[in-house]
Amino acid sequence: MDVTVDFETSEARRLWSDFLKRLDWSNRHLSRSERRDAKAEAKAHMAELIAHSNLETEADRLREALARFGPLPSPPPAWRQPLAIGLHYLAIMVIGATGLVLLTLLHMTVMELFNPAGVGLYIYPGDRVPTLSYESQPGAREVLGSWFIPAMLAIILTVSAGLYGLWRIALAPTGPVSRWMKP
Amino acid sequence: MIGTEMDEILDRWSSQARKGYFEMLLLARLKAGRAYGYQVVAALKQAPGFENLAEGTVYPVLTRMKKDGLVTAEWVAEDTGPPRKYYTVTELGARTLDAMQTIWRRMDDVLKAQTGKEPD
Repeated sequence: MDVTVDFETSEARRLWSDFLKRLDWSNRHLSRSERRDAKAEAKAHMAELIAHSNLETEADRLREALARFGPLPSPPPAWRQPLAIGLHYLAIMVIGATGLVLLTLLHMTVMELFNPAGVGLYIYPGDRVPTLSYESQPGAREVLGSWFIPAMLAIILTVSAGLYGLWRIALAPTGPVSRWMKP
Repeated sequence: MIGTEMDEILDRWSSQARKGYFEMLLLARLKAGRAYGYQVVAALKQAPGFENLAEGTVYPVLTRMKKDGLVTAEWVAEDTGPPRKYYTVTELGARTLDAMQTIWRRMDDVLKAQTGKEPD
């Protein structure tokens, strides 16, 4: 059973999100289905309390309901969630290292404008793997030719989008990992 | 000073006493008719000593009672307002309540017998 309780003000939404987090933490010993059921029941109870409140503002009605529901333990602080911290710092390293590679690709794309005969993706004699280079070497075969700039821009945009997605998930304050890390 | 000390002792003691009493009260309320959590809480808060009950504490007890087979639960969608989870006492729950009440009365009899004794 799904129970939805909506709030209009950011203050009420913040209080509600904190309540749900604490509720999940309190019910962590239950199975997934029991936890879902307990959460729905608590939400339904809170909705009844809010509906029966005579207070003026939404946040005050919610505060009164929270007081009547009773205190719930807060989840442990971040330092007690090594997995969340690990994900957070792994994302920082991946974004940092990949960002450096993207900067190099961007620099090569710009340099291609000034030195189209030199900058490119080459396969060297006796080699199978293409290599990015600022200067053509003797015997090297250029792979992309005039498609070098569009290909580089496509790679830069695609990888940047991927990094932005990773940032949203693992590093943004509103992302799931950051929310998970918050006490 | 004595009053404060006694209040602290009574707070601690009544909190312990209420824990044992709580499940019996819930069963008694549900035996009177099926009810959802909010209704159960509203009825309980009418009872002396339960006016300041933290309402969220009822649900873990109801969940445990359901696991023990003392009650069954069923979600019912409402035309207005949130859906409600109704609890109904099972036959085991009703018999357990009777047994609990017998134990409770016996304890009361013991207490009366003790306090009625004249010192030697």
